[in-house]
Amino acid sequence: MGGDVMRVTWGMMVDNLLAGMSGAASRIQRYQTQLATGRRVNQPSDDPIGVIRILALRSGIERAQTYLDNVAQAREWMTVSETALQRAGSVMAQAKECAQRGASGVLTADGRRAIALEVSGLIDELLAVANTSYLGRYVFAGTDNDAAPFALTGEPPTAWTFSGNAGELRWDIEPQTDMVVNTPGEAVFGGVEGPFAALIRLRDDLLAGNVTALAAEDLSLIDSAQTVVLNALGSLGANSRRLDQAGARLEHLHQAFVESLSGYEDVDMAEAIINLELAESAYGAAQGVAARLVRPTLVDLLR
Amino acid sequence: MRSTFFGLETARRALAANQRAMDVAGHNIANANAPGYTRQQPVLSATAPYTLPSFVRPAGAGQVGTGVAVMEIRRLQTDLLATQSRQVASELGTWASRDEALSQLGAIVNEPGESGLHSLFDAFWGAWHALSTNSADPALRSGCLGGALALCDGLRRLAQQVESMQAAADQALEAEVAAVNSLACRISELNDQIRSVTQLGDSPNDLLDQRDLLLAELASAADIRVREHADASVTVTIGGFELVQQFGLNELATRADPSTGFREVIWAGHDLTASLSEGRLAGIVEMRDGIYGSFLGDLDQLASGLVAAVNGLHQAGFDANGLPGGEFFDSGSLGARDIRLSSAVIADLSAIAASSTGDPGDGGNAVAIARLEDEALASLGGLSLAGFYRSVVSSLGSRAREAERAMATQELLARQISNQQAAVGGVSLDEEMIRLMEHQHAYNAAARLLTVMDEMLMTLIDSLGAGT
Repeated sequence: MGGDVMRVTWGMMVDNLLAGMSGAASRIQRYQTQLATGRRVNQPSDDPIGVIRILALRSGIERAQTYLDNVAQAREWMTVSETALQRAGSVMAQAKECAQRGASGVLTADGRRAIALEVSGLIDELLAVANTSYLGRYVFAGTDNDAAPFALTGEPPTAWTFSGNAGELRWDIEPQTDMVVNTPGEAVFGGVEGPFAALIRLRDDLLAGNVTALAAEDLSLIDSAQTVVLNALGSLGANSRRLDQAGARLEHLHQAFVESLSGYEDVDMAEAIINLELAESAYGAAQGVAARLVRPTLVDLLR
Repeated sequence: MRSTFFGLETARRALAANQRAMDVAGHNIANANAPGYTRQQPVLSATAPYTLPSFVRPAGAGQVGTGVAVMEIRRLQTDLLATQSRQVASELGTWASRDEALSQLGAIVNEPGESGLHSLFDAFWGAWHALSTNSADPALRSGCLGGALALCDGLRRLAQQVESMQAAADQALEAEVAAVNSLACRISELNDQIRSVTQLGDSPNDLLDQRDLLLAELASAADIRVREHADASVTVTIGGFELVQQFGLNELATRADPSTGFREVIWAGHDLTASLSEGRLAGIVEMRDGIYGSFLGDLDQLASGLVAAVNGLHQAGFDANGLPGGEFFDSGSLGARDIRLSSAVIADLSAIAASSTGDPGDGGNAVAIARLEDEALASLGGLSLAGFYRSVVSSLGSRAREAERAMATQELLARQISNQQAAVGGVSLDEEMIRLMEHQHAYNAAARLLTVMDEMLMTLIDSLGAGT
């Protein structure tokens, strides 16, 4: 009997075999879970550091979607505002044409009255434009936007009132970055030199036959009101470009987050299948050994 | 001059000794699979020789052997391995409790899953973002309320589940103490039996095996120290307190700690909860206080951070009616287990203060609240709410992984030691069969010797005696 050879008993072999089999079985279970869920990380202990990234990336994806929604809403809001301002611009263009026609010396008083009627129509149209709403909210009313902000007083109208405010609608379009999406209505349509003032003055001068005023002051008043509208359109355009850029960045970010999440979270199918097969073959080998271990001992041989 | 019948006694001794040796082999074979059994070995030795007196040399012509006897039946156990095995069992007991607690916690936290708390936070902030774009919209207001209710439910559910696991651990402590006492009681009884056998000069091998088995079981429950006395009885101490004494025992008990309401382990009036270092008892205490308790603490910290931060901004804003905002979360809640919305917000959606100016269309305050998502809070050690939760989940994961690995290592170590013990003390059937054969042949030979003696005496008595 070699002194340095460890005595091996049947019990030891059985114990080791059982430990090996249960180890292989638990590995099989782990890879099967990975394959069944398609995820590499199914609980925090699978990858304690990775789980932080996965959770943060999920938030990032969710939030990028939120900002994309905000950008889409802002774009609709701004498109509505833009259309309205373009209509206001065309109203002012028509008003300018009316002023030029009215300033002509050959026109009779009746002719001017007819033009004044036309201008009254333009005033009504301008009112409709200034009270443009989007999904129940008035786009030129500032933050007090649940009621029509502009109203005309007098019949025929001689003045206008503004019941909104100059509040800004600031929406987050990117993380920690907001943008003013609304156009201040009073600054664009109101004011002593604004479109309403210009149109009312034009109509009054047409009715009064005030040809000199029509040719000079009214025209310049209409021009400056037109400028205010065009400036508002310009700043909307600039904001809408900013919105496009933010949207593109968010799309890119969203895509990048989705890709890295998949990298952290998704199981590498080929690797998991190979691991599963390795674990299964280890299990099979252990079973094979078990079958052979229940072999005859010396007890069976000594008869 | 030798005795005529001298050889008969030698043969008798050989028969008896070999039969005894075969009995021992039989006992070993019978107990081959009995847990805790240690193989026994007969120690055969020549009996005291007989000096033949003679005429010329009264003493010294040469000694004649008188045969064989079983001097002792030895138990092949090494105390060092038994001590090591108990230490490993204690550590394994601790890690098993830790592993159990952490994997249960991992299962109920359910991250990274779609239904985990983290996604409820995401949805909560998302609802505020949505509200900021149209604060007058009742649908968005109720979306915000729904997100907040789901978040409160999620926090409460998680906290309550962990609390019930904590209560279960506290009950398990009671059961574990009862198990320790029962083991201690049986060890003490065995002490008495072993002492009485030892005092007679015998080695109570099988009783020692039983006691070692009980000591190993006890070691997995607590980090015990075993000291053996000259009379083969043992003293077992836990954290320096004598559980089993040389004569008698002193059982453990539990009582409710008035400050926490949880059980503490006491020995003769002393609180030894803090002295428990390894083993299932210590593991259960750690599970209850260190794992479940600290996780609940983290959840409470998270919940109160959320309540304070959101309420602070909410109260600075204005509701849908232009009135200053009240509380959003009920600040009367104690932590995660009872976090809830303020009754004003639940009763009336318009109480949500989304506006920072009082204008119904303004969503500035909703933006401000939504931005809390990424804001570092001093009460959370400079982490954001979600960041704090992520770090809690991650550290839970690291600890669970450590426990899994330590468990595997300890199990391997335990198996190695048990293999080493088996290498010394385990029964090998092959070996026993060979021993059996060996002694069978020796027995046969001794019987043959007796026959020869018999024939010799027959020759002597019959042939010589008949001649008269």
